[in-house]
Formats: sequence, structure tokens, C-alpha cells
Amino acid sequence: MDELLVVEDLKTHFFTRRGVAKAVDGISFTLRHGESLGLVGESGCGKSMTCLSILRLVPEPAGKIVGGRILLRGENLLEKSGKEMHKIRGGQIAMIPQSPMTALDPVFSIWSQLSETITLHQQLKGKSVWNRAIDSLREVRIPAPEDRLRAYPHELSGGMRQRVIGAMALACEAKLIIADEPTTALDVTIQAQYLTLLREMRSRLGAGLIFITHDLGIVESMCDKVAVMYAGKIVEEAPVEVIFKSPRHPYTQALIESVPKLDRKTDRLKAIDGQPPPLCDVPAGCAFRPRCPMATAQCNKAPSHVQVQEGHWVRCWQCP
Amino acid sequence: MNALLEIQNLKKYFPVRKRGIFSREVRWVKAVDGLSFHIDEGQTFSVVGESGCGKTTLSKMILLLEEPTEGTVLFQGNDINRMNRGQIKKYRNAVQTVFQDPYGSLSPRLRVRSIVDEPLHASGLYTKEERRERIKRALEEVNMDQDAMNRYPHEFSGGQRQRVALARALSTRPSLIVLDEPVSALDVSVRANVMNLLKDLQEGLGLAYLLIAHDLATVRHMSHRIGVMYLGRMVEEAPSEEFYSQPLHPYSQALLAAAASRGGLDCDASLLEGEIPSPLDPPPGCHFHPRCPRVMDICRKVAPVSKNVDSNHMVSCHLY
Repeated sequence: MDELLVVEDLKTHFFTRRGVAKAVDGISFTLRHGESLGLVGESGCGKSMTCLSILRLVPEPAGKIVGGRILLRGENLLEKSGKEMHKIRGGQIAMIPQSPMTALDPVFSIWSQLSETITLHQQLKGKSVWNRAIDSLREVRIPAPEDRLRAYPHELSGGMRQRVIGAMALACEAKLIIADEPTTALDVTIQAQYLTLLREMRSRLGAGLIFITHDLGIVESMCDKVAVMYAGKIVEEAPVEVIFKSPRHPYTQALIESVPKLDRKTDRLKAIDGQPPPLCDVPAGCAFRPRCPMATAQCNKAPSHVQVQEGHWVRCWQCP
Repeated sequence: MNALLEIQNLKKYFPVRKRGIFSREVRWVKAVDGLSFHIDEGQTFSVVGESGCGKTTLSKMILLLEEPTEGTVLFQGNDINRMNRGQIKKYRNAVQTVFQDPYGSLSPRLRVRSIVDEPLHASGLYTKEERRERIKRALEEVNMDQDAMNRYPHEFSGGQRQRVALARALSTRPSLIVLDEPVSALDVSVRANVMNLLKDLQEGLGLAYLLIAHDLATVRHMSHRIGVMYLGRMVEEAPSEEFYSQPLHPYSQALLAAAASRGGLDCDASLLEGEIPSPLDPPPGCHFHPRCPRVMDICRKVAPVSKNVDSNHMVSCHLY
């Protein structure tokens, strides 16, 4: 079996007083073993909710997965019980959250947090837990791992803490790593170190990676393919070389052009006017229509997902 | 061109007591350790560096929020720390600031009108009529509708809030604005908008900016001159384009390499190992030597002095 993760027509809705917010509105993608997918889009477009849905951590009761299937190695996660999910989270799926400052509990030592994960997900006891913890800290290149195990989170720097979280994923031999903007809180030099480490981890575990970010630069260096999200839908999906060379959706084009470049001086940036629509009140038809420079009357109807090339899908009337 | 702000050998040391507040053993954190540079009228000077290198302490001293331990800040030839109260009021009008987080820097209890009015009110130099006029004009300058005046910050998106913060800074007709990471809290698509606005305002009003940022692509887009800080010292200072085409200091090269590698660009210089050392206990000699790929014997003992490689380009490194 080739596919690690298959997401089919996933819908996660929030039922609020102001109406139904369709945070994730019919998303489908597949991820092979060892493949990495970048999820890109502005804040509030449903990137993080997609990942929380995969982990079945959608905040209830307001939020609910109302449709679709999530198959991890052929097994539908939406049919699992709470207990079974408990084993899968942290075991088969590892999550690297955005802020390393808050992801670790400040009142427990690194050892107690790391060993908790290891004993829960691996059949190990006593001394071998300690050894596994040391090994995984060494693999994420933390110097003097014995000392660090006894330390508390506040004694480590941001980059170190993010490495500790990486070590948890390594120790449990996760098959799928979900990283939600793991580097935004880090300095440039530390970012570069961490991304290298993440690449190594991925090849060492042969794991799939879902990388959420709004930094297109990182996507280019980290991911095999990219899915661009807008208002709860994937508007374009393509291999990474294709999306930067010939983006088809106006939103993708605008996103790429709005970023200043490191390798040349730009005089003026092209900005996207307006903001993404509130999720309770997404315009009918194409959701990007109000901000789109190419919109026509046709865009009042919702465009379907069209394949323009092998592996390159677009949801837009203007690019057949 | 005249220097608007001139900084001469500026130092700020913070005392750290070893045990308890009555202990006599005092060590010093040299947050800023002998900085000299100047900002010209209508130009952008950017300060880059990892967190903990003293960027924010520097901006606080310029904003009169910290008193320097040694050295002077001259604004149009006057020492800002020897001004009388009247002069300080005028100085605070001439030098304004925009903070990083537009969610934290605007009071949720005040209407936009009062937020923009705050610096005008505080200075006490304007009549009610003048203040109303200035609020109106400041909002026009940041392209906001006049009806925004009666609304509260929570009704606006991040980009719009940053515009309100900018209008507040503009209301007193400043000649210098300190921008501390003005776009890093914003979405990519909104960043372009704010950056374009900042550039337009600079051209239209002849503003000078002191930009503190860590995203080197943003810095390239915005700046005329760039200064690189490492552990409280300026290691390189150069015109923007020269800095990007020919960075001289190994630390500058490493920063650019790190930024390039995460953007998927090729680069010659290798990635930095390790993290920034504690400023409480900086390495002797050149602070950068433990991480420097081109370290020599002399670097471990003697701190390099800054040299001019040409009239515009300053570097402090033993290699040159």
C-alpha cells in the first residue's frame, strides 16, 4: 500500500450563534509514505482546522466533523473510539505545534514529559525508556542529553524546546508528522537549523509530513507538493516546482507576488486588496471572487476542481 | 544629507545580582555595548540580528524609555538625555513608534479617534480644533475611511489595526518613526499592503525609519542602510544593496545563508552551528568566534575594532 493518508471530502463546521462557519469545507488530498505536503493560505482559511480534524482534536461542542473520511494506512480515523485515538495521537501521528514556549508543560521536567510519551506508545519499561529518551535527544542534536533530560522547559532556549518536541516524534517512530508553523517563533539561523533537522527526521522515519505555513519560502525548500487553501477549500494543488513556476489560480499568483524577494531588490510589492471572507459568510460561487482581478459573471457559480496537468488541480473558472 | 539622529558609543548595561537583592556581587548584562551610527533624513536604517542581540534595548533608548549607561543620542544635534521638559515634549512628537503586535498596542477600550489623539493630547501643544484636523489627516494618510474614527480596534483586522497604529504615530508629524517588527505579526498578503504604505509615506512626508526586523527579505525591500548586531555590538554596517551583494562579516554571511536556505536558494556559506551565547557571559575577544567558520587565533583574545572598508561600509572583524 502506497498511501499513508487519504483525506476525502472532509468537512469540519462550527455551529455558532452567527451561523455555521465552514472552517473546512470539502477537502481531499492524499499523502504517500515519505512525502511532504505544504498547506498554505492566510490565517483563518482552515489550515490548522484541517490538521486538528486529522488528529480528531476539533474543539467541541461548537466544532464538528460533519462529513468525509480520513484514512491513515487504510483505517478510517473518524470511526475510531476516543481510546484508540489516544494511542494514535503521539504514536503514529506526531504534532509539532507553532509555539515551543507553550507546547511543553512548565512544571514537569523534560524527562517526565518525554518518558510519558515513550511509555504510552512504545512497549518499553525502566532503563530502556531512559535510553530511548537519551537516544532521541541525541538524534535531534541536543548537546549533553543526560543533563537536558533533568532540565525544565524554562531552562532551554526556544530552538532547544522545539528540538525536544521533535525528539518526542522520533522516540515514538511517528509515521505522520504534522507541523503547524513550527519555525515562526524562531530566529532565522535557528530556523535554518531546525528545518534541516526536520528533513533528516523525515527521511530517518520515512514519515509523511504535513507542513502548515504562510511562508512560501519555507514551502519551497521543505515540501514535495503544495495545497493552497482559501476559505475552507483547496483552490490549487500541485508539485512544488510547478506551483512556483506556473501558478494557475489568481490567489496563488497573488500570494507569490506579494512576498519580498531576498535575491533581488523589489520596488513595489503587489498587494492583495481586501481580506478573506468571514467563514460564517462566505460569498456564493467562488469565494475569492470579491478580491479577484480576473473575476467575471461566471464566477458567481462555484467552480469545480479541474486537473490541468498530471497532479496539478485548480478550482477556478479562468484557468481551464 | 544631514544626520537626523546620531548615536555615539552608546552603551546600556543591566545589573544582575547573584543572590537576592542585597547581594553585592553584581554582574552586568551588556545589552548594548558601544554602538555608533546615524540615521539620515528621509532614509530607512535597519537593524538586524538574532533575538537577544540588543535591538530592542537600542530602540528603547532612542524612545527615551531607557537611559543609556554611557554614550549619547543626538537628535538634530541635541543630546536627548539632556533635554528640558519642553524639549522632551517636542522630541516625543518628532520621534514616534509603531510596535510589533497591533493586537496588544491598541487599547481595546478606546475608539480609533481617541487612540490617534493620544500623542496629541499628551503633548499638550495643540488646540482641540488642531487635534481634530490632525486626526482626520492622519487617517487619510494611512488610507482609512473617516468613519473608522468612531469604531473600536476589535472591529478591524490585523492589517487595519497596524494602519491605526501608524496613524497614531503620524498624528504629531514626526520626522523619525521607530518600527519594531512592524509586519511580522501580520499575514503575508497584508504585509505587502503595509510595506507599500510605509514606503509611500516615506516618499510623501520625508520620514526616516529605524526598522528593527529579522526577515532579511523584508529588510532588503525597505532599507537604505543596514546594521547587523551581535551581542550588543554592531558587526557590520553598509548600504542595503552592497550588504546583500557583498556581505563581509562572517555573521552577516551566515544570516544571509540561513535566510536563503530556507527560501530554497542556493548559497555558498555554511549554516551556523549553535545558538547565540548568553549576554551575561559573552565569549572573550570577538563575541562571534565560537560560531565563526573562519575563526583565527587572534579572534579568541582581542575584540576587533570597526574598520571602514570604504567610505560607506563598516565591518568589525579581524579578517579585514
